[in-house]
Amino acid sequence: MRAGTAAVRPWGSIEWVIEKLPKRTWSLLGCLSPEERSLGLWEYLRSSAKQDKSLLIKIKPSSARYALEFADRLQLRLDKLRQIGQPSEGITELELFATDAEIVQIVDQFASACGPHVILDLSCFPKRFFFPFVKRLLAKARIETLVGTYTIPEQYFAGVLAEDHLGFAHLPLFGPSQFPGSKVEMVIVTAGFMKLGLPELLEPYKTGVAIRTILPFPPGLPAYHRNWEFIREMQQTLPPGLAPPIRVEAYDCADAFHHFVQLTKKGTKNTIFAPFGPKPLSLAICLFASLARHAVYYTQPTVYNPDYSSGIKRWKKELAAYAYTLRINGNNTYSIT
Amino acid sequence: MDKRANPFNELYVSETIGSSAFVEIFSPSILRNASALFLPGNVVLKGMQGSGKSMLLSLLKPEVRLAYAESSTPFPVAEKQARFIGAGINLTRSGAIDFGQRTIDPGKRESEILPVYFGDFLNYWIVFDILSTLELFRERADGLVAKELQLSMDDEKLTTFVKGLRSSRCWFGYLNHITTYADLRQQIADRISQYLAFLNFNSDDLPDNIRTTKTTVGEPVAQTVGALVAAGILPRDVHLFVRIDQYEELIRLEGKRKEYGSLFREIVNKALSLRDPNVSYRIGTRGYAWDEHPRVYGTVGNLERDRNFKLVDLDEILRRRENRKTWVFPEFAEDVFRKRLLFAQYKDVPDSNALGKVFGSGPSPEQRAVRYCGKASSRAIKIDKNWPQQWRTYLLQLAERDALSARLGEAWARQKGKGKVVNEEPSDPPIWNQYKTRYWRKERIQAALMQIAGRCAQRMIWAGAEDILELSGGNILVFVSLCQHIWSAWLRTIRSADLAESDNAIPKLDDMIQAVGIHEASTHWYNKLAEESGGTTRQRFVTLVATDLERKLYNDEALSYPGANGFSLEIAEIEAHSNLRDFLNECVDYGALVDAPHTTKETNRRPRRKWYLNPVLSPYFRLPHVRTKEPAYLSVKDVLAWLDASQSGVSRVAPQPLDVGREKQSSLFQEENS
Repeated sequence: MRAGTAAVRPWGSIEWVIEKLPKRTWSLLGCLSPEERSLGLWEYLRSSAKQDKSLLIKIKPSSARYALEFADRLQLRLDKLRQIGQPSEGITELELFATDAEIVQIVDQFASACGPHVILDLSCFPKRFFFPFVKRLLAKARIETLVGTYTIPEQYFAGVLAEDHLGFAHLPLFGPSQFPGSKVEMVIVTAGFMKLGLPELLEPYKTGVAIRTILPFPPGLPAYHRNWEFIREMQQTLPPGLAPPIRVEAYDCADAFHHFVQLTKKGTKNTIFAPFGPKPLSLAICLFASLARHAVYYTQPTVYNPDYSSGIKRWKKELAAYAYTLRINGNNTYSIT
Repeated sequence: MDKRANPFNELYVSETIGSSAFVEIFSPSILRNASALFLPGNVVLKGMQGSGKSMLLSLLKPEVRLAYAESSTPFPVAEKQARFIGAGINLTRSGAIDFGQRTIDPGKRESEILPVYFGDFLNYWIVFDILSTLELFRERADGLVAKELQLSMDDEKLTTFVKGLRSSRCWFGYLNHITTYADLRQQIADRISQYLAFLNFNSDDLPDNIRTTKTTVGEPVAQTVGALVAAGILPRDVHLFVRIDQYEELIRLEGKRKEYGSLFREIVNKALSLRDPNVSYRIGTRGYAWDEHPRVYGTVGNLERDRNFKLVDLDEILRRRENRKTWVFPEFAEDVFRKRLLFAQYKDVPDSNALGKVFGSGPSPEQRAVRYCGKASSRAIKIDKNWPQQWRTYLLQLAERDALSARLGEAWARQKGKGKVVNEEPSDPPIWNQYKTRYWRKERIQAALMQIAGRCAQRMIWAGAEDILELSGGNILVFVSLCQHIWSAWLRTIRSADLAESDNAIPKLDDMIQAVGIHEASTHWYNKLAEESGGTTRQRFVTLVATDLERKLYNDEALSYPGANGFSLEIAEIEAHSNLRDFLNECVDYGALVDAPHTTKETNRRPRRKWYLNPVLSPYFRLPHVRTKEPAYLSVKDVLAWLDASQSGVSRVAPQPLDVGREKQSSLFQEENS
């Protein structure tokens, strides 16, 4: 493996990307969750007979709240899985608050067992899992191709998606790594639906630190309203003069990455990230922070709504999923140059 | 000055406001009640968010001390007490809290070895911070603070310091190879970097030179101060205060690390138990969070209050007692208010009672009743169909003159044993308005007003300096937030042209503008409940409690239980339900509820405790904030039902309304519609 210098970071619909990467079978690392979309990618690979050694991870909730609803939805997924077929490496359970070591162990084991071409389906993984997964998988030379995917649901639940968050903490493997650290110069926040604990996180950076927000746009309504509300509420807790948000297409990981490179002057500005927005933009944060060794902070919810999303969106009967190439033929597509 | 700038925009006065602004708007009036903070000896500073903990602890930070020096403003701590230097660690931001995420010594029991590494990390971090503080004092403000404290950091003394420090056995040889001050700094930084690299999985192992030189918590800190004194860098009478920030995060560790959280707390407790004459620790924590785990690591003993630490309970200090004269919060709030106005360059800010000048005394209860009723004063009362015509006519006529009195008359007639009043010739003044019934009346005014507002479909009014102070509940952050929202409401009413012509004199704010701002602030604090760690459940719980209490209070037509805007439980009963006890404690710590001991009226005399909504939430829930009479006597079963419901999920309690209008709109984008 060598650090890629490619300015081209191919991404697009899963069909399009897979078609451009022919003669490959894919090892999937996915999440088995109450959400219907959690099996979208696995079904796609099975139906097109492109699957290689694969593993699904079931995240065990930390709270008994919604236990019945969780069990009910999960049973539906297991029934579906019986129809589709089990992945070769089965289903492994991890607790939502598994230690960093347990998370690393799982992904390292997968990386040893999988084939050379890997799809990491981010769709239903909490950030505290997929961030270290991406970082570790990119560190494995034996993985020749790495693609991140995101399946779009039919719709998100209109109310509370996650509850009872913890205090802010860095995501596993994305903590402060330099000592003595230089002063934080910038905080980049991607706007999402819920700003759980964000004011607490931003509190020390309210003066003398540039706070930039990334607004996912397009798509527009109804998510757009919730994102603007997120920014409006954020503004209320900050001194006047917050810079206008930067609009980035919600699925455009590459564009978000490009903005991070520019905003941070190629990572030279000491920056911390707060990924509250859509997963593809969080993926951009993950890739950038990994390369620039910046810390990523989040306020982890302890409870997720069992109806977080419903259904799987289709584009003319095709799975509505985006794929992001992170490594092709041993070359990383994302680099800070 | 641009009057559109809200003087209360910046809520917090802590390190985040910027050191120079801190100097101008910090109110020293709180210091009188927290003088222990600047005296030798460990101090635990308790208080809910916004009680002023961070503001006080900021005074220990070198950056703030320097800001005072740089602005030629006297440091607000008495000269003798100001002979200290500060250092500290933030357990979250430093990465200390990450111990336990990764096995360090696979051959050893984690619970035995991890606390030791945690303590070692704390030691090195704090020692590095001590050096950084001294360097800051030497380099900034023309060395003024260094001169004041008689710090002396020439090369010769630094070399002596390094020699002395290196020889201490507490390092287990880790510093053996250093010779210069620069070496010392680098060696400490290297160790912390190695820890961070390991905890972030950037290295496979901790190097052997760390594994074999683990230090005992507190020892290196004490040795460093000793060596600084011995080298003549630090005068003997200059004390070191060590801040431990984010201590509470140790309580919130989840999963397998929960156990480590307790052990890490024991490690911090052990540092406090050392009682070094030159070093004291300062821990800021929410109220109940401190009490849960007093054990000292490696011993069977506990930390003892007044022996190992002094407790400064800001909530207790600032809470209102029955006698208003002993309430210190109004003076503190007045000082904060004045300083904010002066900082924002308002003119004619009086030396005293600025609050009264701006907010006035608010409408009287009678005026409030009239505002709720408008012209339809008859809506203030409900006529019982069995009442004689003469009494009905009397009440209706009274309502036209004095709606509040009429409502109290209605309640009087409905109360047990007082119903005969409906058949008597009404006296003037009526029985419920006489001196001998003054307490009966006083206790029912707020509940009566709440019912009148409800009957007239009006929002209750909170306005006036006294209301603002009472709604603040002794919390300075809430007070500033109330002022902020009122100011915003006022600014929205002013035309730009008027602003340009304004003379920057302080305004006198209309009651109705205040009422709008206060309601907005209340809504803000309600929404904020969910933003706090673990807050969704607390927000739901408070919603259930308040809705239930509000409904009962509103339906109490006889005003028999006007104090039931809170509830009371037997202490023995709560102690038997630790989950409920911990949850209620958390509600208090996070500002959802306030609690107080409760003298029971029951014949069994069993001790009780009572809980009320945080006063600032009262406007949101349309509940009177004033606490009179007895709260509702409940059983644990009742409160557990609220808790169970609030933990059961969004679908059953306080569902988030779907914005139907929005859902029906088509997307601008094809994809969203497809």
